[in-house]
Amino acid sequence: MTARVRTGIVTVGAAAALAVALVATGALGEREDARARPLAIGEQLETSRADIVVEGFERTGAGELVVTLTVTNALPVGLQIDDLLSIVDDDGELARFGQVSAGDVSAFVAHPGVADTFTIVYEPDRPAADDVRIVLVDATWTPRDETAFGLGANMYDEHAVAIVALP
Amino acid sequence: MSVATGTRRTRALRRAWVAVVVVALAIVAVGLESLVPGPTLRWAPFAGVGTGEASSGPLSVVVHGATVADAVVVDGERRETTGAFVVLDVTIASSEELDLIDRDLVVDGRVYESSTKGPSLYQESHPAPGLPVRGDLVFEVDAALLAGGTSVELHLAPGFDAAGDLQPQVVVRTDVAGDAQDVVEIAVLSR
Repeated sequence: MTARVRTGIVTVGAAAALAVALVATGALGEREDARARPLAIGEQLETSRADIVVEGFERTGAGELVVTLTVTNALPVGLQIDDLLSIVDDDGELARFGQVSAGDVSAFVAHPGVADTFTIVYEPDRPAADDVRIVLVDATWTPRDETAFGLGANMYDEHAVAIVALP
Repeated sequence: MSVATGTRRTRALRRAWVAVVVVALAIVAVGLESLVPGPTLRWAPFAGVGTGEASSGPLSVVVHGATVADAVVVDGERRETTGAFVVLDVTIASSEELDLIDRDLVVDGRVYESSTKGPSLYQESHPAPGLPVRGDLVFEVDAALLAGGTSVELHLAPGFDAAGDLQPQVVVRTDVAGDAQDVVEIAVLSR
């Protein structure tokens, strides 16, 4: 076996190993964001963290965006409502944090196993462009915060799972 | 036995001892890491655990009773839940000034933060030396976990540790009856 043949075999082997690694790790697969599906108002979405029903999505005359959603938390700890969604338009993210309430009281957390209906009022920093929509996200939850100094939220691999259009 | 064979055997024995020492040190390191308390536990190395009452470091907590309710009344306003409210009548005392006491209720492994449907934090007093506070802590819990009655744990801590986790300073176990009252009027924690 000549040196050239050996080099060829090693090169082909390395390329095959690389291809196997790419396929096995899912690096060549579809982006998670691409799997986000349209969701209708009132339709239930099941995620690994919670069951979510967007009950309403509207724009007020003052330019606020109001989202009403019912959340049933499937985690064994409280789930921050702000972690579940963001508002985007054709120019990108429009709003991420809003004023969250349940009934007449401020409420930021869905408690484990307790269904509750939350209203979120967003006041975007800029005028909305076309195609305003809610992006509902899921993430993998871990019992412990693995990030330094507690800056994380025990979540990783956050990805969009559904989109709700502004009627 | 030749000299070469003896040398090989000596080397192998030495490597084996090195491996044993490395494994032993790793076990000791893991054991020590699991025993070292977090920064929150600066007043006491271990949480104080008790049934009905417990204390640790500057904190003492007594749970006088637990009530399950379908609704609560706070400041004359009725608030509902699709789960069940667990209302704990507590006295919290501290030998030091504390700005904030975080509280969780653990029911069957699930961790419940105090409900914002209870009194707001700014309404509540904090204990000062010689001035304990008494009132209700309100939690919103999955009603199915309380069916037939169960035991719950109230976890209190002066703050979060560097990893953002609540490490309890005091853990008080108490029994909760399964039967729910229609409505309970909430007493705000006060001195």
